[in-house]
Amino acid sequence: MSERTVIPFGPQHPVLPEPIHLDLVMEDERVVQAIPQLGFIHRGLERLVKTRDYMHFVYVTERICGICSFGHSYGYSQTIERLMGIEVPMRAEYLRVIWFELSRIHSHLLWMGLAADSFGYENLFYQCWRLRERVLDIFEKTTGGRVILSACNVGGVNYDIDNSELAGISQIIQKLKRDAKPLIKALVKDRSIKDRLVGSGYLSQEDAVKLSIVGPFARASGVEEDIRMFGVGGYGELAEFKPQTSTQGDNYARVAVRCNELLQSCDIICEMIDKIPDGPICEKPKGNPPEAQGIGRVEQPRGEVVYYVKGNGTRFLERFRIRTPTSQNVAGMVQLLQGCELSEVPLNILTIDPCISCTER
Amino acid sequence: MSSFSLFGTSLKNLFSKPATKMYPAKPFEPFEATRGHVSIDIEKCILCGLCHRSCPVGAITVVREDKSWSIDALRCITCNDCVSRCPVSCLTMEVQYMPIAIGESISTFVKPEPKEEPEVEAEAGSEEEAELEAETEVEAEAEPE
Amino acid sequence: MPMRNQVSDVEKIPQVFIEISLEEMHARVAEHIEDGWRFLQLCATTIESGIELVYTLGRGPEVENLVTNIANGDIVPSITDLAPAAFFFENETKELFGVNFKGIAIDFGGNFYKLSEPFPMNPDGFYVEIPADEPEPQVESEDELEPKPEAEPEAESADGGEADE
Repeated sequence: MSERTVIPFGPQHPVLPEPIHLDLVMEDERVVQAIPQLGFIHRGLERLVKTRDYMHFVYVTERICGICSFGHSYGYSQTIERLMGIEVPMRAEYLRVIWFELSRIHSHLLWMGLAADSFGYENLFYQCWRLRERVLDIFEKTTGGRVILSACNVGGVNYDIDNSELAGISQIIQKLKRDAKPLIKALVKDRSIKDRLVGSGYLSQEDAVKLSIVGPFARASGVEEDIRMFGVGGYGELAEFKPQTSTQGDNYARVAVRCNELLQSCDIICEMIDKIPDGPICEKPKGNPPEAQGIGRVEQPRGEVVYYVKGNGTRFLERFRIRTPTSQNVAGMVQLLQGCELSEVPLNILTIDPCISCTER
Repeated sequence: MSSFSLFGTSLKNLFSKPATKMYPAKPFEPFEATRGHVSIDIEKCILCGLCHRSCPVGAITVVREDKSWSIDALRCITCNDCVSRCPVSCLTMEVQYMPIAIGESISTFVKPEPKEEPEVEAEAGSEEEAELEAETEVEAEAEPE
Repeated sequence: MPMRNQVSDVEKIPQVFIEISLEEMHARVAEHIEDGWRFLQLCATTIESGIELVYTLGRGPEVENLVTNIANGDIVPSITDLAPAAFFFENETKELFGVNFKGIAIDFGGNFYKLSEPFPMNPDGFYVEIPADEPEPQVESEDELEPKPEAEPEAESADGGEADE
């Protein structure tokens, strides 16, 4: 029986967007067990609900995470609107979907760059991030901020985009789709990358269902679940929506699923821009949240996010909780790491797309 | 299966201009909608206090007795709430980011008194005030005659 | 003014909140998971008489919430044997609210987050040790998510040392 050593991984590592610590129990070059440790970025944001009223709290939800920023304000607004029975104008729903899908494109491009960096392909890393700058410029032109948009609010959106600018955005996105295709081809068809990705980090469909995994991590193992297919909000206006899945279940499948989602998002944005109606963009809420509990769900780039809201009749909420996809996927990640080699550890951690600052609000 | 897929792109990038903006050699050009900092046209302000109540972080303070409006630039999150709620549109969101501040970052503006010819500022010297008072006294005496 | 002209399937389904007692919680969750429901989240709220726990389960577009009220000092049976992903939520609730769960798969023993004050979300919370009358089940097979016995005290003593400093 060979000797066991413990190697610490993180919290600082070039491949991680946010800090997480893992103790890897190794036998020679194989990982026998991985023990996660979190808590480096816990800021206690849920307690702020007692001092910020429900309209101002949307600014706190935006600042939970930099990559998933718009998604959190979108989900929070949707949940409060359902609790209070507010109807949002159609144009606001379309605009929200456009910004949300742009947010998905920028998150997947960021992830593709990090994935390329994790096995040493720095040229592809920078090309992906260079393409992402076009999306951040669109954000800044329309809302004024590159990362924190402050665009979504309870009752609608804060900024309007006029139709000529929308046509310009449609052109930019079509060009982005054409320019993203060589990068996706490099990531998916290159022989040396395929040698690294195919066959490593395998998770079967039964394990994915038992560990209740969500997001592209689960869709790559054959679980066909995506909140966008239930047609909530602006997604009900799409002609058809089919989630991208794969049955292979290894790292290659996860890369392929995210690349396909990126191309699908470009199509969704162009479809929404063609169909957008005219009208107001905001319906001011009246009164306070009632004494009731409510659940809202949204499909973020990393998976399904669940928002639980409890009101008590005053303008401060009683309780607000976000359940992020990474908190479910950590269990799957620990499963993936058992039995892999040390050089595969960064890639296996990155395939779940960890967003630790959302997880540990 | 292919190898060296990015060879064409890399060769093209070698002979084209850089992707980054050459700052600080060239100046920083923000977009029109960029949220940099909040500024006020103090003459139009009616001291209603709506911006003070709507600021989510408490960066703005309005004191009616002193007729002053002050903002703490380090606390401001440029959310645009105050600008959209002002009933007389005296607040604007400028595009330039504020320069780096160390220590105090509060800027205070005092609303000038109406119908005085030169502006009476809080830092004005006593000589100027004395001159103004002399002028207005002469006018007050001249009127009833 | 143009409003949304169709309500999606999800919004037509009313949100279900069922109140049950603590003893039947584990059995009800087991029934649901066998029926094809998936564990979504566990949320704790401080109320006047103690703590309210909400377990959320989802299947397709439907969402069902099981609500139970407990007092400070109650011990709650863990559901990590049914849904291994719940270990995250149970450790978090233990640290922020002071609710002790019995039989968590990966138990951090109070060192999950590094907090500066104990039980910040529940000022009346206190920690109750689980009575040691029956040994906690240790499963030896490799594909369960439970750590080997020698690894756990190693992680805990490392964290315990740091927390003391």
